[in-house]
Amino acid sequence: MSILTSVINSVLDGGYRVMKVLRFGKSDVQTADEATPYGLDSSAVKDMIAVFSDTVTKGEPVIIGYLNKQQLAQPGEFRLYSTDNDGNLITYIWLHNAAGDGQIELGGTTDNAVLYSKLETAFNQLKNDFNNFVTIFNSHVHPGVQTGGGSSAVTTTLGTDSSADITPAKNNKIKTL
Amino acid sequence: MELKIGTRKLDLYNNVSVALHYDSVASAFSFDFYFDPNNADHKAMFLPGSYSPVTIDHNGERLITGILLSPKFKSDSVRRGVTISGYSKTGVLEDCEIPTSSYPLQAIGLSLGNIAQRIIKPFGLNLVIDPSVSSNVNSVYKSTTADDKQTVKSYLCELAGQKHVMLSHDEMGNLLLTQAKITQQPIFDFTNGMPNVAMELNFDGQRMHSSITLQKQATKTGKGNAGQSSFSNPYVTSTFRPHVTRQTSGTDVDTALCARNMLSEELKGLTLTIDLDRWTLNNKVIRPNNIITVTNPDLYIYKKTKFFITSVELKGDNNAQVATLTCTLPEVYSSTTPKNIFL
Repeated sequence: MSILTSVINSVLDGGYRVMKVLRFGKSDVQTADEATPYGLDSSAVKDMIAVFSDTVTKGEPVIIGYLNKQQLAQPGEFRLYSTDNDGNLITYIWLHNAAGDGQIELGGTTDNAVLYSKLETAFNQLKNDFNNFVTIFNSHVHPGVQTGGGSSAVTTTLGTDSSADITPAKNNKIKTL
Repeated sequence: MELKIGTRKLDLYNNVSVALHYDSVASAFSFDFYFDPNNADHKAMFLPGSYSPVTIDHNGERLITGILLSPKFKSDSVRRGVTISGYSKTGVLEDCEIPTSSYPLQAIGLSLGNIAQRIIKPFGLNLVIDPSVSSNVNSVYKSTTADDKQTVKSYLCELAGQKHVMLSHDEMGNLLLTQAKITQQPIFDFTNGMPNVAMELNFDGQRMHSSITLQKQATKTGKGNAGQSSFSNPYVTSTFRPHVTRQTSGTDVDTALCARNMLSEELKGLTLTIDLDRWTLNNKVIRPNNIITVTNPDLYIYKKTKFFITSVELKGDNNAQVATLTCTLPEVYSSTTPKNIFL
């Protein structure tokens, strides 16, 4: 039988999260191991409503979930979030569905993450352009040089503008703060 | 027999019945009484809902310290009086769930003694621990919990079973944690043909199984090796009747004990009843938790066999006093390997 209970607190015991909850009435305090999907490690805050479930063996109940009250995900989406002790949102990761263009939100949508390889390509382009210019600079000569005051003609080998562009490094699929 | 309600001794009673139980938290009684509606004492004693204290003695031996539970008044053209019934003070534990004042229901690191004391305290009951089980009674459970809808008796029985302790009561109305006295000397030797003795043996074949296997769910630190234990029933060897069930309380360590307890439950299907024309043997009231021996080929008991008295019903009226003894195999209350008494 499953019972709605109220979270009091939790402790870690040898890698297990043991939830202390208030089950029935005002003084039926119970402890139960928390069961979660494999690889998921989270800790519910006080006063969350936890689903307490007995197992075949008395005295070995488990908490099988919580009645989350900050659900925003649309069908097909997945959202992880953290809160403060009062349950106020601190940050989140939101994997959007197709309607949300498959975007991944890391705590916000103001900015974009970057694609490293594209950024590297642009950087290397800029670096090559710069190095070419250094080579030109170091080997340049000025024809028509005169002694004393005066002017000379422009160098015979001219530098060119860099073609580096980091626009392709903008990651429109990963938005962030 | 001497009956008292409060401090008032009753004289005009009839059809008395006292059922003394071992494997129970209470014994029961009933009797008829001439009720005079104009008698102030009678009115005070039999007030419905008074739950008045009752004591029952016989030849100076206390049999029950209990409460008056259910008066049943009758009236027609002939005055009929009242039929009174009740049970031991501890009987309330069969009828009530754990009071919220004894919460929390979960107990971590407490013993059977600790838990029992805490739960029965609001009922004004006392706990008596037989020295033979004090070690088990004082050993702690890692974690245990009661169901909120479970009666006190049910919960304590469940806990006691895990420690091989019997939940019973004494004649003074105390809750008793004890162990069956199956190694004591028999109080009487019954044989067929004894005058004014009738015996009946019943073997409930449907209740019996050739093997009892108990399986437990995985434990969180057990690395997947869930407990499992099996026992064979020596009374079912010629046919295949397996019983497979779940362990619903206790740890992996308790699985074998729980399986053995289930075998004991099956062995209760072999019962012997003895009707006698008296309430006493050797000048003492016949009580449960005693051993007798029986030899009676009429009952397929060809050799002298020990039986354990689990309950005794004493009945009496103006004409006679009779007793009915209900007995089981001593192995029901021990962890020893049972032997087939018929072979």
